[in-house]
Amino acid sequence: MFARFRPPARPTVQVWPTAHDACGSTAISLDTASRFENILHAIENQPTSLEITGSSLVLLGDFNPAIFQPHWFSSQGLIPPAEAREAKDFVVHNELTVLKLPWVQVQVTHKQFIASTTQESHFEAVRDLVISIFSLLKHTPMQKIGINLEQHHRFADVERYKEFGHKLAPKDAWRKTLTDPGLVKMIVVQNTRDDGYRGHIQVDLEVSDRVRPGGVYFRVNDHFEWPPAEGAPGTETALKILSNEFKKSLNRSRKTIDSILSIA
Amino acid sequence: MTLTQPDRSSSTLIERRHEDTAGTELAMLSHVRDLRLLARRVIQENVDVDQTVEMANRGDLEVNLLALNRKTATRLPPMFLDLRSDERDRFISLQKWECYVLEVYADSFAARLLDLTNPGPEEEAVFPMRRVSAEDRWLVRTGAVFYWNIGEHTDVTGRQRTVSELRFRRLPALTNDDIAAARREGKELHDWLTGESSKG
Repeated sequence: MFARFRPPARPTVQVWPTAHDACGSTAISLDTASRFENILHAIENQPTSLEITGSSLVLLGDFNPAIFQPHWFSSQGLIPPAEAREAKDFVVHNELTVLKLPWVQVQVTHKQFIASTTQESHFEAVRDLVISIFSLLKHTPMQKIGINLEQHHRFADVERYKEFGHKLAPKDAWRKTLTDPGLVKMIVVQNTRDDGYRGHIQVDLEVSDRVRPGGVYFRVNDHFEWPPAEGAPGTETALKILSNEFKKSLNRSRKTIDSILSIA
Repeated sequence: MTLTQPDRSSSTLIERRHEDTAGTELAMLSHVRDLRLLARRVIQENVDVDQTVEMANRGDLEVNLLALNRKTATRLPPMFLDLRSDERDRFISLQKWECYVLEVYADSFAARLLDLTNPGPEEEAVFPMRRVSAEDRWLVRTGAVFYWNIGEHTDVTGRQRTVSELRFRRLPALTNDDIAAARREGKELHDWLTGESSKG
């Protein structure tokens, strides 16, 4: 038995029925089990399926790439020592650091810090890692941050996939001169933010290079920036955005993609 | 004073040892010199093959280690770096919770769960300690935050598995300044709530 659900201590929350084996060796409540069934049923009946998803945090500022080596991460308690030993394909240099752990990839140049993962289970862990890093390096100057979500979706039906492209970019005007025109790439930008921050939201849509045939790739770049303040490196603002906006940002990006896909 | 070849037959054992050591050192020095020459030859060959270092700068590189007065930028050796994320090893969450530990028992712990996939009422669950990786067990303390994911993992071979995974949040150790700041903040909050003066 993996986890035994029990009634929550507070009377305001739901009382759980007996544990029920619903997901392999994982014991979960009846309510949760039926929720899973609904999720799986919904997934099976969707015109598109999520094949690959990834998230990246991109910070722009002034960085010292040579700091970011596996031993530094483990000595600061940010990753277990065993993970530091397992780091692969890593390059640590004054100009560039690349570090691949099983759940996160870190790439740093003088102007850019990127932490990314293709494991949805670790989106929050990557955010925590970045917050921890720059809580330690709190005097690092930075001015911009991007919270990015990338997804590859597969269309079950190729005809529907083509129709999706036509709906997004009607071809009437193109058919006057082109034979069988198709949409390959589209970029849509919201130039202002409605959450009080400066920045923009950019959605890229392309034919997927990884999921073929009938694959569509989305990237939502949720971009924040702030003016340099006298005597403040900007780290505090970046950490505040990561702490308060990360979850909202990913949810908004998912909703945007789902909303576009819903026309399919 | 003139230098003469020592008469080894008449020297003492200690003297002979000293001479032998000196001989070994000489041999080592010679070996080091050979290595240097070899290294230079390797560099020379690399220059010819890869053009990693321009001929004119070679002397510059040898003496100007801090690059304070280097005439031209050093060119890095050509290398292949795959900076793309490896999407072959991927995980898609079917259900995700953010949790925090309520109580720790001998071989299990209780936690409160916040559903991140479909937000709803908080839930509670008891997890066996063995489900936490050995290196993370020391993190299992009251109040510790962790993420519980159930989802589909696809490995590099394309094999898919439905897996359940716990990952504890790791935060850097608090410094004395952090602790002092937290105490100060706590005291200010206490004073504000109780209406007491911030003095003392």
